[in-house]
Amino acid sequence: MKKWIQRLIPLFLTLGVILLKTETTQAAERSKDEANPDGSETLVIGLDDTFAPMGFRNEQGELVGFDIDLSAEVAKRLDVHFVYQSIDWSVKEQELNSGNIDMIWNGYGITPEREELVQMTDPYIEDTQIIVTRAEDDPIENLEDLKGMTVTTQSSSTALQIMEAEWPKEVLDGLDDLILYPNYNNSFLDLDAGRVDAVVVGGVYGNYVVNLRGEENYNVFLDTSAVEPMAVGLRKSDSELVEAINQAFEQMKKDGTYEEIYTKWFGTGGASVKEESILENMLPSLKEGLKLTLGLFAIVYLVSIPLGLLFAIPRAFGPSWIKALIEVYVFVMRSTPLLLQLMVVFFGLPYLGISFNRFPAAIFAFILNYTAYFIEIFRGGFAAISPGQYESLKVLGIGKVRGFFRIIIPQVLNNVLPAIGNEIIALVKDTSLVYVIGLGEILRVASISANTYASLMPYLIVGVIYMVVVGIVTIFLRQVEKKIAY
Amino acid sequence: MSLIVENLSKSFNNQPVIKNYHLTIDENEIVALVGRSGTGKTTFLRLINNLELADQGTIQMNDDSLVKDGAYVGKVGQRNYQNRMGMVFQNYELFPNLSVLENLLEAPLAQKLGSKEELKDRAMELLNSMEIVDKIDAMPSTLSGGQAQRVAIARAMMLSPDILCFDEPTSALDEESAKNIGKLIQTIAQQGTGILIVTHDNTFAKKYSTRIIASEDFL
Repeated sequence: MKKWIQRLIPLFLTLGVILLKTETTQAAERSKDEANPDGSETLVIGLDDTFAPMGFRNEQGELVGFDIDLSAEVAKRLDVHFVYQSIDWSVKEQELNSGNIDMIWNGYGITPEREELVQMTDPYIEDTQIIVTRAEDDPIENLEDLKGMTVTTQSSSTALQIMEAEWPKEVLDGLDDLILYPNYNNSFLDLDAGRVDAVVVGGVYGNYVVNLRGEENYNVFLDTSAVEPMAVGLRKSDSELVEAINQAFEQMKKDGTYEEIYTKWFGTGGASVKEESILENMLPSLKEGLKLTLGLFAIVYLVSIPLGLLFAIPRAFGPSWIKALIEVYVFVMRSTPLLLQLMVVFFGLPYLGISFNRFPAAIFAFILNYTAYFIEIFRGGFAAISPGQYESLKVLGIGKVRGFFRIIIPQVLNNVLPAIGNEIIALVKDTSLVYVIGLGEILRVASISANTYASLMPYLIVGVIYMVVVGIVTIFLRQVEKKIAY
Repeated sequence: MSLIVENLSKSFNNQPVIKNYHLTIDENEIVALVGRSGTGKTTFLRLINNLELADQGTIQMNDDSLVKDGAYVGKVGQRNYQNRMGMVFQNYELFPNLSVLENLLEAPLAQKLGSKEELKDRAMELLNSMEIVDKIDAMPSTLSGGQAQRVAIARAMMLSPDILCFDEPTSALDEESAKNIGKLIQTIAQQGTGILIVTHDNTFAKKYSTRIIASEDFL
C-alpha cells in the first residue's frame, strides 16, 4: 500500500505546481500592468474571445482583431493600460456591474435594453444584420419569406434584440420556431445539418463565417431593418472614461488611424485566420485549458473527499442539531445545479462584499458542491456498517479512536469506493462548467476554436482528451480499489 | 463463584423485561439460557456485557463490579469487569478488514496487555487448540461459518475471560459443526471458564450444558 502512495505523491505535487503556475500567470497578466513603470491606470476589458474578426484568438492563442487593435490605440492615447479578460458573453453585464471587468468591448451592439444596464460610448462601427440560408434553398427576398421557417440566432445577441424590436410582428410570430444557441457556431452547424432554415447574424461575424465555410454553400440576405451600431459598454458611473474614449475615437477618425485599422480587418485580403492544421493551432490554448481543467480537478478532489469524510462523522454520529444543519447544507447543494452555484459565488457574493478571483471562485464553488456529495456518500458508508461492529469494539475494549481508524474507517472506504469513483469521474467532466465565469477550460478552448475555424474537429479533439483523463483516473481507481478491498 | 447477578431489573418503555432477577455462574459451569423469543434472553446477555444499562441491581465478577445496586462503577472498573466477560456474537462480528491473526491481536494490543510476540504466541496456541491455525493469515470473508465462530471464540479468549457468553451459537451451523462447537465449549469449560449459552436449540442445551435456566423466570 505504501509504495503506490509514494508514487502518487509526486504526481499530485506536479499537478499542484502546474496549477499554481496557471494561477500566477493569470495573476501576472494583471499585476505586470498594475506595476507598470509609468504608474498609469489599469482597466479590464471583458470580451468573448470567439468573436472573429472583432476579438478572437489566433494560431498562437494570442488575442487579435479589430477591437483589440482599436482598444490598444485608445489605451495609447489615454495613457492607460488595458488587460483583456475572457468572459461568458451571456453574463457580460453582470461581469461589468459586479466590477470584475471595467468595459465590454467586443462588437457590443447598442440596444435600448443594454443602454439601461450600461453606459455606451459613441458607436465606432456599424454592423448590418444578415440572414444566411443554404444555397440549395430558395434565396430570401424579403423578411416575409421567413414565415414558416425555423430560424436560429445567438442568445442574448444584438441580432435577437433587433429581431424582437424591429421585425414586423407577423414575421416574428410567423416563424415556425426560433432556436437560440450560446454561440453562432452551433447555429451554422444546425443550418448545415438541415434542422434550421436560416441563421440571423450580425454582418461582421456572419460574413466572416460564410467565407470560412465556403461562400458557395450559402445565400446571404441583407436585413436592412436595422443597422447595429457598436460601441463600448461601461458602468453608468464611469462617465469621464466614456468621454475620454469618445474623444480618442474622434481623433483617430480625423488622423486616419481608424481607417488604417479598419482596412486591416475589413478591407479586401484582410487578416483572416488561415485554416491550417486545427490541432496544431489549438495546442497552445489547449495546453493552458488542460492545466486549468486538471488543476481544478486535482484541488477539488484532494480537498473535498477529506472534507466529506470529516463532516460525515458528525452527520452520522453527532447531536441532532448538527445532523440537521449538515443535512440542510447537503440538501441545498444537491438540489441546485452546480452551474447556478458557480454563478452565485462569482457574481452574487461580490454584492455581499466577498469578491473572489475567477479561479478561487471556481475552486470554492466546486468544493462546496462536491463536499456535499461526498458527505452523503460517506454517511451511507457509515450507515452500512453493522451495529455489531461497534459493540464488538466495546466488548473487546479496543477504544473508540483506535477502533474508528483501524476497524470502521477501512470498512467505510471499502463500502464507498465505487460511489466515490463515480463522483471523481463526474468531476472531471463537470470542470467544463467553469466557462460561465470566463475560465478557459478545455471545452471552452474547443468552442473558441470551433467558432474560429467553423469546424467540429476541436470538439472531437477535446472529447478524446476527456476520455484519456477519465481513462487514467479509472486505472488509478482500480489500483486503489485493489489495495483497499479485503 | 464467578458471575453474580442480583436483583437485576430492566424495563423498556415501562414494560418490565427482567425483574429482581438473581443468577450466579461458577467456573466450569455451562449454563444454557433458553426461552421463547421476546422473553428477554438477548436483553439479559446485553446487560451482563455492558451493551445495555440496567435499571436496578448488581452485576459483578468476583470482586469486579459492573453495576452495584443500580450504580455503575467508573470507566476503569467497567473495563476490568468487561475483560473478565467474553462474548461471541451470533454473527461473530469479526473485523472484515483484518486477518484472523490481526483479529485476535487487536484487543490485547489496544489494551497493551503484552508484547506483540507474546500475544502472537498466545494466539497461535488458541488457534491450534481450535484446529484452525492454518487460517491464521486468512481474511474473515474466506472462512466458513464454523471457522469464523472459532476465530470469534479465540478472539474472546485472548482476554482470558472468566465467563464466556454465546449468543445463539448453533443458529447458523449444520449438525456436525454444532456437535464440534458443543465439544469445544465443554473443553473450554473444563479449563476453568464459566459458560453462558443463549439458545433456542433445546437439544443442544440439554446435551452440552450442566444447567438450564429459562428466560420465563426473568419476571
